[in-house]
Amino acid sequence: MGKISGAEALVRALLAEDVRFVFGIPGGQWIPFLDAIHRIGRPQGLDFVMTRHEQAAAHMADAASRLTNRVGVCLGTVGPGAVDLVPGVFEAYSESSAVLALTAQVQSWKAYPDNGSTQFCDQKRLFEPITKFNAVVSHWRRIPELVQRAFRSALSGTPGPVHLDFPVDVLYAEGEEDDLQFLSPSEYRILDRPAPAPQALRQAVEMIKASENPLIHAGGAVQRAEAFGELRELAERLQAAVTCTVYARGVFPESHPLHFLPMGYGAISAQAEADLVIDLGARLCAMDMWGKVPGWGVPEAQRFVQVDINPESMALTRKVDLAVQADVKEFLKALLAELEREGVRRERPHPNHAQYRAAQEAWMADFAAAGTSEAVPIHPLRPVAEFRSRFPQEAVVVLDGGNAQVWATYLTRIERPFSFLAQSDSGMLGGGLPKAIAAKLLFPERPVFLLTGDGAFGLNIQELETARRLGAAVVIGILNDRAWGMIKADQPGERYIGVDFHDADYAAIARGFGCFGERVERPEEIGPALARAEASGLPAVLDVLVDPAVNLKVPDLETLDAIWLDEVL
Amino acid sequence: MLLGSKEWWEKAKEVVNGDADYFEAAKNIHKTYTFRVQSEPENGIPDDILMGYKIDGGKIVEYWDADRPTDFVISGPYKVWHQIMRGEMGPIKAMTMRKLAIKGSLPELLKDTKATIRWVALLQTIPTEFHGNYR
Repeated sequence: MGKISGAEALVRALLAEDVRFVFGIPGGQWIPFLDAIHRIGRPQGLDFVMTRHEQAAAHMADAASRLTNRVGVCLGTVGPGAVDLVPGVFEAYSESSAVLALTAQVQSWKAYPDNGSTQFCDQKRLFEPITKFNAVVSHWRRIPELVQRAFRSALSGTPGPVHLDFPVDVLYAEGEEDDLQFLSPSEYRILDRPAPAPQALRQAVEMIKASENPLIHAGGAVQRAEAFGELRELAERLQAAVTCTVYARGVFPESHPLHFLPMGYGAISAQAEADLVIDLGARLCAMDMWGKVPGWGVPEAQRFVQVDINPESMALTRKVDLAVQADVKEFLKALLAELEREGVRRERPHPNHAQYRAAQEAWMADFAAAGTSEAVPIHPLRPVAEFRSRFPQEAVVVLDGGNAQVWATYLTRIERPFSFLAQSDSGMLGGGLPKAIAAKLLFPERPVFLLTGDGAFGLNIQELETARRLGAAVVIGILNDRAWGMIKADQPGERYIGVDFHDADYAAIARGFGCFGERVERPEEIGPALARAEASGLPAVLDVLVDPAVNLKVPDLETLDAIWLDEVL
Repeated sequence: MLLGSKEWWEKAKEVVNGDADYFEAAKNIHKTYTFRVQSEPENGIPDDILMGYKIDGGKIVEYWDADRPTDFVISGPYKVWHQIMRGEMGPIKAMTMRKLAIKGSLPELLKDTKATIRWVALLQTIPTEFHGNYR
């Protein structure tokens, strides 16, 4: 064996975890690492994806993680580059996404504490509150070990972002390759999934047998455990209603007769009336109405089973009758075997499902009608309906924005797992375009479309250049109301302040980046423009001017605001 | 017109029963409701105020101020009802955020949300006098 540099060791450690992309912007400190990717990484399938802002790089790593259940990797150089990663890492933290953030640092003998180096930043402390694990890699010998530790932490229990800070001399340092251990994943982290304790399983079976109107609430853990078949089998065996968190959309087909749409009146009704809830990895936080009445049943009348791989996630907002620490897939497999053994199977759903369906349909009726609206200016739901119907179900749907995301939620049915990316717990804006680009890089054969507000789109608009450069032909629909619509809607007495934009021409901006761009002002123009956008083979922007007055009146905005602000209002 | 008085209810019947939008949204509703406006002695409202009514095919056909069994009982502090009547809080928000407690089928109530919102909007057009310190 020969000599190996710290930068080469980092590449080798990432290859051991089969990382395909490192997203970021290079800096001087990272030159040996990029050179190592060029020489060692590329021949083995690892490449560097340059973005135009580090925030976008972190969002792309987040998307890569969510769409593949692996660790997404992003990079920023010392100081500004590292700081710019923070917004995207924050979203990954809020959404429980396994992201490894790599930052360069000044020389180890000039850092921690700082002695006046240009760009020094205490990146260890900067990332601590938004990562599960972070460390300064103080010596090149520790690179494999700390990368392994970072991956172990990112993927253990509830996933989340991790961070490693590399003083530049560590990347340049060289030593004997024999001194380093590049382990395969099974040699340093647990790959088996924890199964439920037998007594907990027994109790769950008894609770199911005693239940007349069970409901399954699926969280992101179902996606991470890839328990889609098991979830469907359990729902159909019990004829149980199924609701999902926003994050988990797609883990259960939204057209399935047992499914009720997130935040919809059908879901709220079913959640309120169920006599048993089987919660698969959802924490019941704000977007789940805090697990409280009337969005859920009173604890005295609703038994609650919470299954989570992480015991720290139990009963955060309401008491549970049974807490099961287990991987969701292992729990469902074991539960299904027990139910089969005991012959537990129901032929039809609880009769009240008809009421839940009626409540959902009443809630949806106006939205569906608005999806075909001929009004000018364009109703925000018209482009949503046009986009959804244009693309097949295997398309990756990306949502971004405030009101735009709420509108889009009404009419974008998600039927397959790994087909949906949006912010939920983070409330972060601006990640849509980077996530869409990452989705296209990972799955070039699948269509990818983004529906976004104009405000959110403006936050990372420069990534159009990234999309063009990489040939990532995503199709973007901007629901352009020339304002921060969600905030404007809340301002009292039409005393608007700090919420209105100049009428920017996003189609022209897109063309300036070498992309396809077209402004759409009439509803009948959307379909043909979409066809031209797809035919262009380019990243494409449809700048759809929506009715700003209608956009201020998202039907459920008042309820959403009340949930977020809770007792303040 | 004092909230819940005979005069107020007659006016409510007039505006609600004459509204085409409400009729369209509520034409399939055949339900009875009780609003329990809870007492606030510190604000000069010593007792609960009961407002019962029946909607039949999109029309108010009967109202009463006694305690009768109804399909729905919706209860809350006077302050919340006051806010709703003045347009300071939406009825759906009040229900989903537990400002108002609901007895009865939530799915049935949510199915009729559009009618509820229109109903409240119509009541807001009545020149309403409030009780106690809410005058």
